[in-house]
Amino acid sequence: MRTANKNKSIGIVANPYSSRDIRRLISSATSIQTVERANIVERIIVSVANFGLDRVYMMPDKGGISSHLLRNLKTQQRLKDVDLPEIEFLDIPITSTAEDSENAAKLLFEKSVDAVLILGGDGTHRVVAKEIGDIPMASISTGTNNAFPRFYEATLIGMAIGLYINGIVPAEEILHKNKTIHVRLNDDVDEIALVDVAITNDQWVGARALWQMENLKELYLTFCEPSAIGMSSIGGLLKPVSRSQQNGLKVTTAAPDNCEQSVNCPIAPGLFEEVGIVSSDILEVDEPCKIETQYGVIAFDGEREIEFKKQDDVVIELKNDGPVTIDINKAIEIAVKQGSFVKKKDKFLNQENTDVVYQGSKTNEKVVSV
Amino acid sequence: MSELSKNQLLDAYRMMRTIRDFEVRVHDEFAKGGIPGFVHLYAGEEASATGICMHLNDEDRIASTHRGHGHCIAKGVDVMGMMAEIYGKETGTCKGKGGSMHIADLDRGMLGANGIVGGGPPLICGVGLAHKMRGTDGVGIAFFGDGASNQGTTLEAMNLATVWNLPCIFVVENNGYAETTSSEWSVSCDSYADRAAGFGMPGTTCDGHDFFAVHETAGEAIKRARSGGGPSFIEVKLNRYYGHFEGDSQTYRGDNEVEKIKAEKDCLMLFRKRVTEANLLDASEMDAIDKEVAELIDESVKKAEAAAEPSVDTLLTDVYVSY
Repeated sequence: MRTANKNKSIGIVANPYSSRDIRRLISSATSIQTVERANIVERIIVSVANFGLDRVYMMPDKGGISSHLLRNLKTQQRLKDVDLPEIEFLDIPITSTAEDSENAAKLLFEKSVDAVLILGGDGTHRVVAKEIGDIPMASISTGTNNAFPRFYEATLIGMAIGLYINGIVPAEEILHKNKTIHVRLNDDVDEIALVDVAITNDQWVGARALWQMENLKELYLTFCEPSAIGMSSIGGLLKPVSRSQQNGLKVTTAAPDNCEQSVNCPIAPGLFEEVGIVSSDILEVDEPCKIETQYGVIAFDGEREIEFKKQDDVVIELKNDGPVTIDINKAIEIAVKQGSFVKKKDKFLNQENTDVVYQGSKTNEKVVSV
Repeated sequence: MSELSKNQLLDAYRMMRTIRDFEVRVHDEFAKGGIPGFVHLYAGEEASATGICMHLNDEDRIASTHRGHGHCIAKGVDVMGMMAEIYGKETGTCKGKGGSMHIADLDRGMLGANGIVGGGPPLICGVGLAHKMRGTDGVGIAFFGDGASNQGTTLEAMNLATVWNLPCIFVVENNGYAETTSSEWSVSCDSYADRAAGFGMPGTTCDGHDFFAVHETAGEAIKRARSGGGPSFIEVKLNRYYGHFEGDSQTYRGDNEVEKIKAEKDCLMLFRKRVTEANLLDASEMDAIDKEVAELIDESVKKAEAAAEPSVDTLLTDVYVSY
């Protein structure tokens, strides 16, 4: 159902480095190989192009995704046989750090692409979400916990993006505005998290990942679904908050032996830890609050990021200013109900002479000549 | 672990400072012509050797590379003996007969710097097997570079360590260049973690400019190996400040590449900044260490220069091992 549409573009931010951290050692965390990430990008491009797409802006990388994609575009017959959009690599310096995702997102925002696809974990989503304003984004989970992106096969995501950017399904029914948690440090720093902000008394950022729950002191959540792993599971298994609810959750934790209740949570793939619960309270939108812990590390979406000390002023605020995401399932369901995928052949024979009635194994067929 | 005591932090700083000052001094002395043979310097990579070796004892063994001074110092090899060995003097760790690329001290668990690219990984399979057969909880760690990661010996060792579930850790110190060949050009898969996964071994990546990141990652890998969890792979991303060898004109590097790294990512600078901002150590304590280390290196050079060369009648001794 190709729609000729010469003005549609999407951006792709594919992080080659996610899911390579210490959680490979301390849990059964998986890792998606670089070649598979490149394959995912291919599947997305082909799927969106099926509905109409003029241009893809790709974040360049030295981690192998860009090079595999380029190599396949030149050498693989399956891609030469398909009518693909123009693929343009963004003109940004490659630092092989999160800065690349940030710079790519800034440029995609300037170019006003119709949608952004992110391949990465919660950290990559956070970095991109800060920069793309209200350009709708869709996600492929290639991180460790992937609490923010929902799991869908890449081809289906491509279909949903294609349906959206070509106006085949109504935008207001499939787009969703997400919540964020803002963290302000001494009025200098203003960072956001899409899922969770954890305050720990670790001494340093170190290997970044969070898994030693004895160091966790406070947890602030934008949402916490029961069927999720990572830090949000602490709230999700205690007092779930949905993505659409107009509040979040704050949980204060301590050693389980010192608490009247505790939760046994999947804080990483295949890794359960008992977390003692001191208190859990609703976090209201637009109501800033100061953290209680005096020194330690602030973690955003499961990764330690910022070290703070006693003299620092750390303020948390839940807001409704997060990224816009595409509801993949709903987009495809609406399109199905509309009959958007069904193509009927034109009737080229005279109506009276063309009745063909299928009756099980028998047919009542009048053969006519055209 | 994410906690280190004050003494551990001081030890970490001392170790990195010793490696740095040792390498800078060898760089200077080599330029004067007093050091025979070749040297390959580790300056810039201190956090890797320090962060990993701080977890080890004398029962653990490490195998190193041609760029081995940092690993030697981190594993506790005597600095005086090392400098004398580099000068080729009879007071050297290996009696002056091995030089920079063959410094070894088996009593400290240092199997040796190694001039054979990819020579280290098979050795630590032997270490792992020995510990496993004896029922001891020691580990074997192979340090190797991005160039060696393409060698058959490295890949064979990774395979063997996995099929025998050996307490081995494979550490690729990816400084981006195999001599003068960029690793971006020459390493397929573009991800060492992916390669490890191909052997059924968990692979991780960490920032080699950050002592704490290396220390934490290595701690988990070593703990896993000691408890029978088997081998694992760590990519430590870092940069060397000097050339592949002393005398290398480094025309393959970008403009101001090293200056930029030194200004933004130097591991000693980052460590110092972190521990002072967090009030974990005083600057004055680290200044005192700087002074002590400078004196130690100075003394090691003076002693090495003054020592005698090995006599001719020792030419054929120490060639064979006698049991």
